[in-house]
Amino acid sequence: MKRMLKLTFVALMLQLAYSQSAMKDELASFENSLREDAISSIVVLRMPDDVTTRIDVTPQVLRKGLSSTRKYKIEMNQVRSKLLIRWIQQTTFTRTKRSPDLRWGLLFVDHNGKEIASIFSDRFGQVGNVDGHNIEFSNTHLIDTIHELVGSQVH
Amino acid sequence: MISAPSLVFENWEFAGHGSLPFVRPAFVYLRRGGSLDRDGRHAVRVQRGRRAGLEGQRGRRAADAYLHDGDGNQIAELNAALVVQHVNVYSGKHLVGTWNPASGTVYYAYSDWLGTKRYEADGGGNYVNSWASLPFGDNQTALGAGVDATEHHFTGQERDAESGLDHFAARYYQSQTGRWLLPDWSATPVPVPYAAFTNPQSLNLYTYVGNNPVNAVDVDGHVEGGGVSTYTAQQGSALWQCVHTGPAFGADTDGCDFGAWGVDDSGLQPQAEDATQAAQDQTADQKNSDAKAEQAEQQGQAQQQRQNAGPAQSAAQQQNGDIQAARQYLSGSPEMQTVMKAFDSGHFHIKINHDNDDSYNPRTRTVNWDPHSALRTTTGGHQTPAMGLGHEMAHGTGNRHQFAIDKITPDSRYGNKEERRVIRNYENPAARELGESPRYNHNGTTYHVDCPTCQ
Repeated sequence: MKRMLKLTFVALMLQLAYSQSAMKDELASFENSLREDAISSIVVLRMPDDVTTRIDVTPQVLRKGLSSTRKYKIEMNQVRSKLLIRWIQQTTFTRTKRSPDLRWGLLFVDHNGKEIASIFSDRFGQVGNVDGHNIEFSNTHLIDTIHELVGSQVH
Repeated sequence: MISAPSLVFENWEFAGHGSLPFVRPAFVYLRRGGSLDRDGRHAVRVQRGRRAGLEGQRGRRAADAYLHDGDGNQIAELNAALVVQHVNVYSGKHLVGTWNPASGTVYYAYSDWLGTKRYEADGGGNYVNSWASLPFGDNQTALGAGVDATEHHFTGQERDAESGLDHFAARYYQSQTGRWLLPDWSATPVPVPYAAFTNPQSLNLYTYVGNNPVNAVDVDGHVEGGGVSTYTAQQGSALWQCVHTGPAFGADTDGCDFGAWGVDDSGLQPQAEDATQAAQDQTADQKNSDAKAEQAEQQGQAQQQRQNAGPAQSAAQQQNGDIQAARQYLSGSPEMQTVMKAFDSGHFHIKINHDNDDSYNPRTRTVNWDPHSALRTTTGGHQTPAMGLGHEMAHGTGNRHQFAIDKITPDSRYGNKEERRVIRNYENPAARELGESPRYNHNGTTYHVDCPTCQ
């Protein structure tokens, strides 16, 4: 019985380690794309913080858009790449079961118009979704980074 | 001039979680010994160790103390050590809620048209207890096991736990017999106090409101058959108005009698103004009634015209029908009735869509609503589209400043405090009352249904 429990525990730890490493791989790949100027533009999806909804806003809802959702497209450049790279280096990501109420979405598009990565965040920059996985950020710098990316005209 | 009070209550406010809708800034100064003090606006009467009308029979009670405001409402009960046991909050003469300082809990009171407490909820809007009784206030029975926040029940008067009698200001009332324990009395010598010689019922000084307890309320223990003293609920308002008719005799010592047929010693508005107001209200009601009949006729004509109109108008008609159906359905819940009432008086808009968009935008004061979007909760339950409308309306009708704060205050279960407030205080009670599933988070999956009240 004890052995079974030990094995289960080890399996869970391995799964957790694998998911964390998978997340790291994805982010490393995304960081490389930024360094290699593979990203052409960013689509910014925004649901205002003060708009309430019946259920938490998911990536699907934010992509589809509600009446209050706004959508912006910004061109990628060196400055913006560096901002994102800095944020990735400063932040660690942990998978979570928490379902975030998303307010920001960043869709990264390559030169062929194909979406190659996505990052979503709640209004606080604490919890979000990266490439389909709910994650918790180690800091709330993402909100500041987004504001630096899109400028003051987007609230 | 107030001299060195030993106990001072300032600004009793009920802020924060479970706050009461009515904040009474009470500056109450109480000195041991129970002398009268004033706070400038409300005369505060301290009854210490005695109750009017029964003093001789019961002797001195244990040293409980009661604080009354200028309207005669008991706003606090204190024990022998002058520790506050509970604080009552009133809107006019109407008990709104009770705060228990020991537990820090707020209880809301829901009363019937006579002011008798029928239902009690806690600060989170959860059911605590409810009470049933017969017309004279007899056979009062608690239907639940929850606490009774205050002993005020029959017509809002305090029921004495020891004797089972109701404490009106001038006399004690026994609900089992529907009679006063003492005959009515007057401060000045008169043949028959508060009687009208044209009404024989008024000559019986022991009867309660002329044996008509379903339509009349005695406010102070001086009830009269000829000059019937009743409290009637104003339409659409929680405030109660004292309406008097007929002749009166003698003086009133506790501020219910006014003007021509009594001495107003309370400084309240004279009866003449009340009567004028009542007459104006009556005229206004008549006018409203006429206007409504006219409006109904016009609506009938408009409906006929719409039937001949094109598809665009039909769609608009359908949308209005959906909203009406949802509102009709939600009106089965007292919580949602409150929400809709506030919504109607707040210049809000409802915008229909078919994109699963149930949201509220405070900048435009617009509720976006899909009348065919039902919700499956994370526990497998179901909610109607109508509940989605009620949910978003409730967001709009909260305190705007508090909304702004709560919206950015994280909550581990509901995402933020504003969602917590709406789901726990309005959505869940309404869901239970309407046979839908409550939610314990801000999640769920939407799905299409055929009508706003379908699950």
